[in-house]
Amino acid sequence: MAFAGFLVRRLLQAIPVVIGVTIVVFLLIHLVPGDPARTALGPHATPRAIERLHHEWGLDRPLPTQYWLFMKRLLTGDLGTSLRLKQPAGSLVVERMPVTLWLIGYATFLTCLLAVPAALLAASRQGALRDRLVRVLSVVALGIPGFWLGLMLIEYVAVDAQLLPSAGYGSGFIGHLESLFLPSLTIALGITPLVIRSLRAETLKVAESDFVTTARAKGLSERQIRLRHVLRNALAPSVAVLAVNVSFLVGGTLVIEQVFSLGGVGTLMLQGINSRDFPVVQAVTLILALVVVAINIMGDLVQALIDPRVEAR
Amino acid sequence: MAGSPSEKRGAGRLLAVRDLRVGVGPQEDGFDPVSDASLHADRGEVVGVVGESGSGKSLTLRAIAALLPPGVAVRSGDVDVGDIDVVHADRREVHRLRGGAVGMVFQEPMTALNPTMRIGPQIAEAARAHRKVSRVEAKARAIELLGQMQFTEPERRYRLYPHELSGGMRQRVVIAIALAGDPELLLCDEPTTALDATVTMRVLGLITGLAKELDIGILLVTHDLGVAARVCDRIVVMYAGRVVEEGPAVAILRRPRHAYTLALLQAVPTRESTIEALRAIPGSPPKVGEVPSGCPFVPRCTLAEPACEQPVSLVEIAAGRMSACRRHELLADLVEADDA
Repeated sequence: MAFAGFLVRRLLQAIPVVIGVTIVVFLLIHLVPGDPARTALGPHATPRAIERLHHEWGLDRPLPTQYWLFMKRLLTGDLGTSLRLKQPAGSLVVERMPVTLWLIGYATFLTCLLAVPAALLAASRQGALRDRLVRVLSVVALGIPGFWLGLMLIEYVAVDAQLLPSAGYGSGFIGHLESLFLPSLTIALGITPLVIRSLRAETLKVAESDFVTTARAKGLSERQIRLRHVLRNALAPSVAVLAVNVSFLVGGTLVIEQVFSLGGVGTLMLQGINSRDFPVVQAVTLILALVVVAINIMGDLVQALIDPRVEAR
Repeated sequence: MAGSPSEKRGAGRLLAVRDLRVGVGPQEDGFDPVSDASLHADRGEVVGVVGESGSGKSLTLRAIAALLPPGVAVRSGDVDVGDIDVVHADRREVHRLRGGAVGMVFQEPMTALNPTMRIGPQIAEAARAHRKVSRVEAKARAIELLGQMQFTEPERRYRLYPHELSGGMRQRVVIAIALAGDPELLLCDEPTTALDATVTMRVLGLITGLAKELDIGILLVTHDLGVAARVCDRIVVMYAGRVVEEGPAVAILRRPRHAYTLALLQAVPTRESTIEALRAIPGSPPKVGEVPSGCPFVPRCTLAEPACEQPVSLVEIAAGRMSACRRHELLADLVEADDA
């Protein structure tokens, strides 16, 4: 029950953040230098067309009224109409969301799969060869730019060795797993070092806690101590690090999507920016921002599941 | 020791520590916080180990449980717990020792429990570490222990997390963990220092009650002579890493035969003591590595004579009484005169 309460509290806390996001997204259109309608329609637009777009976007009204109308439309699910594709911007984004969400989820999964064993291995003996090896590899991985790594993986794993598809989304669950492996790995390798570093440091810190001495005094094996007592306590702070970095990764996916021609939200975003399709840019920004908020809430929930004291806060 | 209670069992000592030396750092240029500790404990007995901070009492305790921190090691001497030779124990014997032969109660109940695990399983896993029992049996054992530790509704308490308990309750959980493996010896490292006065008595009552009820030996490290006076059968006084006096609790507290013990007792406020009578011991204990070769207490001792500069060892001065003080006869006279 305490957990349900925590969830509700956390969702309520997210409301001001979401309102802030809508304000930023709303102002996006006004941040563009010059007249947004003129920018959108291009240099050859007739004054009449500009006038019409002004009216359609409500740019001829006072700012608060504009925000009010924007919010009213938003609450009915209307995010405006794409200028270029003449389709509702909201559904354009929603159509392309599955690829992006898959990519985020898959990359997070791979990150955990890589980071947890590596961090535990490094922390099992501080200063030993395995520890130094993990740390060196982390620094190297951190230094590799994602787009370059993506290209290398396509070149050697997909094209030369023919092991995995080089582009596309695949079909069906297995198809997705296969096609999205390389892009997800590319993204995962970017944040794995950060999670390893946090988890390694936490593990070493927790290993010196009094309760670990208690566990040792019980006569538990070092393996039992590490899995039951150390890992769980070291995990909670690392989940926070992971959540923050997955949020960053949402931006990173946009680039990786291009490299692997996945046609997700990132592609839509870039097209929108290039063709000054403001409603599309706004819709993508808003929905991705909501995804980031959701990821952070999930991070908090996972932390609360691991450490019961988080709930009490 | 003639006439000690263990003789009736005929078996060997429950705990025997002989000439223990515990060192920090490398053998050649390290230092030895415990330089000469000998003590023993028998079944059904509560032995207090008293001394100031830094006297080496906690390290002695940790050496007995093979729980010395990294970088700290036994340099020489022997520790026997039942049939286990702790100093030379292999991995299997260390496992048998920790939690099995020896249970340990720590000073800080706030940090001694895993914050992310319910208290019940923390007790149950200690029971399972030493006996081949099923999860269900281990749980039943944990609930039984919670009951013994005077928790009401132990089934419900089983599911609580440490942060939902008070300090005194947590310490009772720590004791339950220490007892889960049915040890013969319970080591308590200042178990009540972090607790307030009313809770202290309750926890102490539990611990001493256990010694008699379960017929196990208890080694209670404390710097609080009041605590020692209340619950201990025998007291071992440590100073600068050595045992300087040992004997029955009442005798030690009434008729100390070591100048340091006397000084300690004079520093304890009692109902009759006036400010003038209350005397702090001048100076501070010698720093580790700077302990004089003779009696370590000489620089602070009001009774010291030149001979005290010579090395001195713990000798039996009366039946069941050991002292490492050259002036123990003078002390006997002084205390006698005081009583009269």
